[in-house]
Amino acid sequence: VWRRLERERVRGALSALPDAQRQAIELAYFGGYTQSELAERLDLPLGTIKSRMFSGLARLRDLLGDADNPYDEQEPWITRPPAS
Amino acid sequence: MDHETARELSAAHALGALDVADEGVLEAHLETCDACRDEFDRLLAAAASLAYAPDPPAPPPALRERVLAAARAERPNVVPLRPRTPRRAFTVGTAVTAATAAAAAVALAFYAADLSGDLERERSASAVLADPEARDVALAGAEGRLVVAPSGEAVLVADLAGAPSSRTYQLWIIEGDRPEPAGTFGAEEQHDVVRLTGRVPAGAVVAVTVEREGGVDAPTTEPVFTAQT
Repeated sequence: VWRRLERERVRGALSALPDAQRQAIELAYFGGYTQSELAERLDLPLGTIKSRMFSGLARLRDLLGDADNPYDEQEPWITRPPAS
Repeated sequence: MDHETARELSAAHALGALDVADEGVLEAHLETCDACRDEFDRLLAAAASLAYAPDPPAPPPALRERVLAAARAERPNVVPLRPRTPRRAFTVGTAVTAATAAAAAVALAFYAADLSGDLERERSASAVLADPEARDVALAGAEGRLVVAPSGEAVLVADLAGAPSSRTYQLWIIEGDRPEPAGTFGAEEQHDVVRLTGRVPAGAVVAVTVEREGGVDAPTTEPVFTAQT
């Protein structure tokens, strides 16, 4: 149940981003592109990709950083190897 | 490196998208700048939560194998850092590799299999662009390209002026002599990224015409540009 709630929360945050920022983040994270590969693939200046990626991820961080964020209190989970 | 640059690069690093040339510079800065290091940690947490975004249906076995093979073949991108405190025993590179790259490899499998929900259109465009086997086809008559996945799913990346008022751009897939409509778009933003609504068979031509708003059943004007796949 927690995983499902978390998924809804992350999806909600993602869908609140402007299309261009969401796309930059999705392609970087899920597509595995580097910034310069993305710039080439989308025919955009590298600077545009960099700023979209930062603005998008910063916005995502703010949206996910609500009071009930379970991560706030337990930073070290990040260094835990992901479950496979 | 100034802090502004470091923040931008931190976002890319957290997403695992940093160019090799930038890695060393950023790592060096993060080691000496607590403020930027904290910022990086927060961005990394946001990036890691993306692993929850896709639905978790079981990915097709072939896809899973391909993703895992790609993950194994991934370039070694770890720049070791001298730990500042015992708590930092993990290097940043290790944290990124463990938390982001591996999770992303698994998430990609889910993601590619996840084409339902509100974000379907957008996600599908991203999935096509992210497909390593997709082909790039140059446009004749405009700046940009058509990206075609082996499945025939296709995305147009074009640099067009906005459509005239009460007109729309309409996509066509032409195989033989009958153009099939494949979606409309307005090009409000420069550098439009548009997913075609139909699949593009090998050898077909994709064309774009200007039509009245809402689109038409058959093209009424000469194509603005074409792409021969």
